[in-house]
Amino acid sequence: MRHVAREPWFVTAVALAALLGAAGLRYDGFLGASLLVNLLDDGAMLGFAALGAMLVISSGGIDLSPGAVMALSSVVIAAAIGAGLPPLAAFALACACGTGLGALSGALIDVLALPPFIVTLAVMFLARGAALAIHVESLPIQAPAWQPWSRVELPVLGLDLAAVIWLLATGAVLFASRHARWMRHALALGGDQRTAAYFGVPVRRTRVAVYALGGLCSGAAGVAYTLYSSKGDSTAGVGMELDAIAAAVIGGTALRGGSASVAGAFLGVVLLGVLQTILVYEGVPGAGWTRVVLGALLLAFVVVRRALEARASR
Amino acid sequence: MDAGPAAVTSPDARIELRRVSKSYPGVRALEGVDLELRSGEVHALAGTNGAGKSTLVRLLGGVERPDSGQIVVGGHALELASPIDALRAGIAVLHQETHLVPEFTVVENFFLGRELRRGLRLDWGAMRVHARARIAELGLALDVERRALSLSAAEAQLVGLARALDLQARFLVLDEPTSSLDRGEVERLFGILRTLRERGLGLVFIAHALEQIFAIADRITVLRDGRCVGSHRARELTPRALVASMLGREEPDPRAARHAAARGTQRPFLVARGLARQGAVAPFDLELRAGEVVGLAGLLGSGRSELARLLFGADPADSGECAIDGRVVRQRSPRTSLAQGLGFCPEDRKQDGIFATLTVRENIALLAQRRMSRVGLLDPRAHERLAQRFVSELRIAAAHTGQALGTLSGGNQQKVLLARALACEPRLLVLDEPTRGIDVGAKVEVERLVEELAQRGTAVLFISSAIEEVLRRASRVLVLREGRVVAELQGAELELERVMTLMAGESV
Repeated sequence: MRHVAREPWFVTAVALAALLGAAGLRYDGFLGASLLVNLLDDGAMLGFAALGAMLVISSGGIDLSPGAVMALSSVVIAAAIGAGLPPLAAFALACACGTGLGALSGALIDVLALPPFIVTLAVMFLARGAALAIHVESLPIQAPAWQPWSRVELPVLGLDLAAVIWLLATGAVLFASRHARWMRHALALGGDQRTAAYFGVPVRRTRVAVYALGGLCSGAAGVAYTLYSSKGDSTAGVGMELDAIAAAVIGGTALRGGSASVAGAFLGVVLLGVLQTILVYEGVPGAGWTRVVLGALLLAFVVVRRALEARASR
Repeated sequence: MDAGPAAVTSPDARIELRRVSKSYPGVRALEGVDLELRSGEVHALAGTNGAGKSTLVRLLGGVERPDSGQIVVGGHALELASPIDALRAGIAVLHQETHLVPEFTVVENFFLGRELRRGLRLDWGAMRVHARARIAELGLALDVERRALSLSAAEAQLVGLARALDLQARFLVLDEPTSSLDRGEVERLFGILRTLRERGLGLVFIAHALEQIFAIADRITVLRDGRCVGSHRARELTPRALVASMLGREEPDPRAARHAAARGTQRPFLVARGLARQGAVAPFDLELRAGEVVGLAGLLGSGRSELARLLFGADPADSGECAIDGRVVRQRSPRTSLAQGLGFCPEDRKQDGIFATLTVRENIALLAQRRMSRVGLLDPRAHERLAQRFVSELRIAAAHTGQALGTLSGGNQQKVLLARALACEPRLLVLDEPTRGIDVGAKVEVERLVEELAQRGTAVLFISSAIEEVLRRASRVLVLREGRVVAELQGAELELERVMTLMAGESV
C-alpha cells in the first residue's frame, strides 16, 4: 500500500476518484458504462498527445509541436484519401510524417545542441504551415472507401477504434517503461545526461528515438481526429500541445525529467474529461470556465505534489 | 564502433599516453604528456589545480579526444571517441561528483546501459540479485530498490565502483574519490583499492591530500601547467619533494611587511562574531582590516564558499552578528553589502558571475551603474570610460569593449569579473576561487592585482583550492574543515604541510 502511495500518479487517482464520487452523488445516473465509453472516445486525441508529451518530458525535453503535427496528420489523411489512397495507407503516411518531424526535432536538438523549446517551436510552425499549404479550410472525406471507417465501433464496450488504439499504446508504453532498454535510457537522459553518457547510454540515438516517438504519437492523434470527425482540418489542435503537457503534469510527470508516469498521463486525460463533463452537467456555459478550472487544477496539483515531496524528503 | 580491437586480455596490459596534448580556448591544458599506467599498481596523479589532471581523466574516459598524441591500450593505439569506447577498452572512470542518475534506483543505475534481457522483458529479478551481490562484495549491504538520491556520497560512490568492476574494467580511474568522504570511509575505500590492486587492476588515483596519496600510491606522476614533470616510485619521494615538484620554484614574498602594516591600522573594517548558518558553516569569528589579505583554505565542500557567501550577505546567517565600520548590520543582503563597500567575485564564474551574452562594457559597469547614473539615466560615455580604464589596467584581452563576454577566454572573463567589483571601489573584496580554470599567465596577473589592492588599502579575503596561492598572498589563513574554522595561522605557522594536514583533519 505504501508503495502505491508513492507512485507519481497516486494524487491524480485520488483526485479522480473524489471527483467521480462527488459527481455520482450529485447527479443521478452520472456513473455508468456510457460515461467511461465517452471519456475514452473523446479522450483519445488528447490521450495520444499526452502520451507523447510524457515521453519527451521524462527524457528531459519538451515538445511544442503536437497540436500542429496532429493537424498536419489529419490534413494528410484527408488529402491522401481524396487522391485515391486506401485509408490504411493514408494513416501510415500520416504517422510516418509525424515520426519524421519528431526525428528531425530530436536530431537538431542533439547534433546542434539547440534548446528543445526553440526547435519544436519551429517544427510547430513548419507543420502548421504545411497543413495550411495543403488545404486552407476543413477538408471533409467523402470517398466511398471511407464509409466503413467513419466512427468504427469495436465490439468491446462499443469503444471507438481510436480509443482502443490509445489504450493499447498506453499499455505498450507502460510495459516499455519497465522493460525496454531504450526507454530506460531515455529516462536516464532525463535524470542526468552526463552520468548517462558516462555509463555508456547511446545519447544521440536515444534522444532521436524519443522525439520520433513523440511525433508518432502526434501523428496518431491526427488519425484519431480524422476517425472522430471524418475530415482533415489545418486549424485543428491549436494549443493542444499545452493541454497535453498539462495532462502529463497533472498525471505526475516531473518537468525536470528522469521519471515516467505512463498511467498518470492516462489518468490526467481522463480527469480533464471528467471535469469537462461535470461542467456540462453544471450547465456552465462556454469553454472559458473550463480553462479557468484547468488552470486552477494544474496549480493545485503542482502545489500538492511539492508539499508531498517536501514531506517525503524530511 | 570503429575503435578496433579493444579488449585487454594479457595480464601485463598497460595504458600508454604518447605525446598527448589538449587545448581549450585560451588554455593549454595538456602539452606533450607521456605517461605509462600499469596493471597491479596504484598510480597517483599529483598537481595543483589547473595542472591538467582532470583533462587527463576526461581523455582516458573517452569524454574528450586529444588534439594530438596517442593513447595506446594493450599495444593498440585506440581512438577513444566516447565513454562507450573507453569501457570497451577496459577503462572505467569514476568521475568527480557525478556518480549515479538520481531518479533511478540502485539496481537501475547498476545496469544502466547494459540491462539484462529475458525474452522481451528486462530481467529485474536477476539484475537485483546480481547487483546486490556485487555491491555486497565491497562490504556494503544495500537495498537495491532505493533511489540514488537517497544514498550518501560514500554509498553512491561504492555503487559506482561496484558497477565499474562489474564491467570487467582492467583500469579504473578515480578522480578525487575522497573529496566527499570522511576518514572512516576513506579507509574503507583504500581497503577496497588495495584488494583490486592485488587482483591485478590498474588504478589511477587523484586526490589533493598528500597523506592520502602516500597512503595508497605505488607510483606518483606530477603534472604542472599541463606538462608531466616527473614520474616516481612513491617510496622514493618525500612529501616535501612532491610539493616542491608540484609547485616549481618559489618567488620571494612580500607578506611580512604588509602583515605588520595591516596590524598597525586602527580598528578592523569588518568584524564577524559567531556568524553561522545551519548545515553550512559553524559559528566563527573573523576580523578583516584595511590593506590585509586573509586566506581561506579547505577541501572541496569544507564550507569555504558558504563562508564567503555568508560574509557578503548572499546567504542569511542563522546566528551571530556582523559589524562593518564598527556598526552592527542587520538584515544583510548583497545589496546592502555593496552599499557598505563590500565586493564579491563568486566561485562559479559561469553560473553566478558573468553575463556571457552582454558586452565587456556592460559587465564591467553593471554594479557601478547606480553611482554613475544621473537623475536615473545611464551615461553610456561614462560606462565606456570606465570599461576602457579597466581593460587597460587589468590588461583584458578583448578586441573592443563591445565584445560579448562569453567569447573571451576564462582568464579574461575572470578579469572582467574583478573589474566589475573594483569599479565599485570596494573596501573589502571577497574573492572565491579567482584563479580556477584560468591559465598560468592570468593567474600571475590576478595574484599581482590582489597584491596591489592590498597596498592601496583594500582588505581582501582570498579563497583558493590552490593552497600555495593562498600561502603566497595571505598574511593570515583560516583553515576550514567540515564547515568549521579549525585554525587560524599566521607568520611562521603558514606552512604548506601544516595547512594541508589541518585541512585533511589531522591534529597538529
